[in-house]
Amino acid sequence: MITYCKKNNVKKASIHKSTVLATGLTTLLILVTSSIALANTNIVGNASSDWKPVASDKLIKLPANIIEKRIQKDFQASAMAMRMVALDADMQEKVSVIKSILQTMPDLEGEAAQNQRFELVQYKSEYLDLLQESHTLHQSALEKKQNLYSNVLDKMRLQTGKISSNESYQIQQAQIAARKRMEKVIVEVDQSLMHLGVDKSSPYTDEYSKNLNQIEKLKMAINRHKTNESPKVNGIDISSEEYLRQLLMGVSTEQSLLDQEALMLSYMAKLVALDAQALEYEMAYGDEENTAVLTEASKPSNVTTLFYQE
Amino acid sequence: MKNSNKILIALGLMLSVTAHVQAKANPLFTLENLERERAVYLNNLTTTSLNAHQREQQGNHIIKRLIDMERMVLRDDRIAMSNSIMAKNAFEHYELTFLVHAGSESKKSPMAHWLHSLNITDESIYKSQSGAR
Repeated sequence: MITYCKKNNVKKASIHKSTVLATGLTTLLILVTSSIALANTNIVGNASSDWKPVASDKLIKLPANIIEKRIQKDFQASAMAMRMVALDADMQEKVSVIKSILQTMPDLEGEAAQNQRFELVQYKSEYLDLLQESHTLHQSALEKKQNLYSNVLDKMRLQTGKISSNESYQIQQAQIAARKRMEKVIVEVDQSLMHLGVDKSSPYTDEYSKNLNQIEKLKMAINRHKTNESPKVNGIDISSEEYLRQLLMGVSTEQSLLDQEALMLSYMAKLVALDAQALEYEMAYGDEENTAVLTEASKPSNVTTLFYQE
Repeated sequence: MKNSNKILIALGLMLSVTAHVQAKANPLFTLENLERERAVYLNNLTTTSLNAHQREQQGNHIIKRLIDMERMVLRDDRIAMSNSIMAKNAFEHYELTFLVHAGSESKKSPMAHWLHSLNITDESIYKSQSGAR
């Protein structure tokens, strides 16, 4: 290649640039290839973009739908979420640059086109780096959410277990059963008062029945109050435990989709690597006509007459 | 008003309301009243200071009070939270604690129901002997 260059200074300069580009491409190729290898591995984000949620007792006491909101709010305020937002903006920028390069490419020829292609590969590589970091952060966030929801669910179950084995709970259940038993005979007992010669009901009975109606209304108002609303899925009331199980299922769904995206990312990285490799080959070996075409003089059959006289 | 101030005020209100709702008295107050009244009712059976008519009249008044007290105990949520053996025994032995309502179930007067629950019959009373324990 160097001998060939000596003939033309302009070409020499161009080839020198090509060498630089080729070196750049080789580096790019190495980077992209390494990013393919990393695309399927879980890299924990660096300390500056971390999120460390804890399933505290305070969190467990909240209604399930509020737990989710609280976790989401905590996540949004974390360095991890902020980094994800920044990455998203960077990726948006890269995508618009890539799009504009792709639009201008068909109009270019020769060296300009080659430079543009080099730039395109470079931007694609940078975009993939960002995408990979974002993907890793998403995966890490999902893992943390899954652990958090599992911890909350475990603690909730533990608490329910503790409550149901609690002495107070046992007494409460016995009282509820006794109350039900009493309510079955309440009318008969009231009627029996007549037989005892007590025709006037007690102030407690009178006041109690008066208040009961109002209490029922107040109870309904409490049940209807939005702060006291039980979590809903598709408009159906569900228990806190069920709601958390739904959240865990949502996390699994997101995780499986992320796995799919990781595959896409690795394929995109592979394509960029192939583009870079193609560009490197093109610059190293050129796309000109084959210079090694044999001339007439190089064919013995054409020069044999030079060696004898007829 | 700043959001943080509003939150603080709301929290303060919530705490004061909760504290007001959970203002504690003796959680077993109603149950203790019932036990006292029940003891008076049972004493009414054994006391020798009353004649049959007086016993019946006084008994009926006590029953009327017992009806209210039994209902109060069964509706009082503080009793369950007291976590006491007294409360546990009261609900475990429904037949003996809630004499009027349990008697109504078995179509017996409260006293007859109590005697029946403890398996005290005419025969066992006749066979019994009075003396120092």
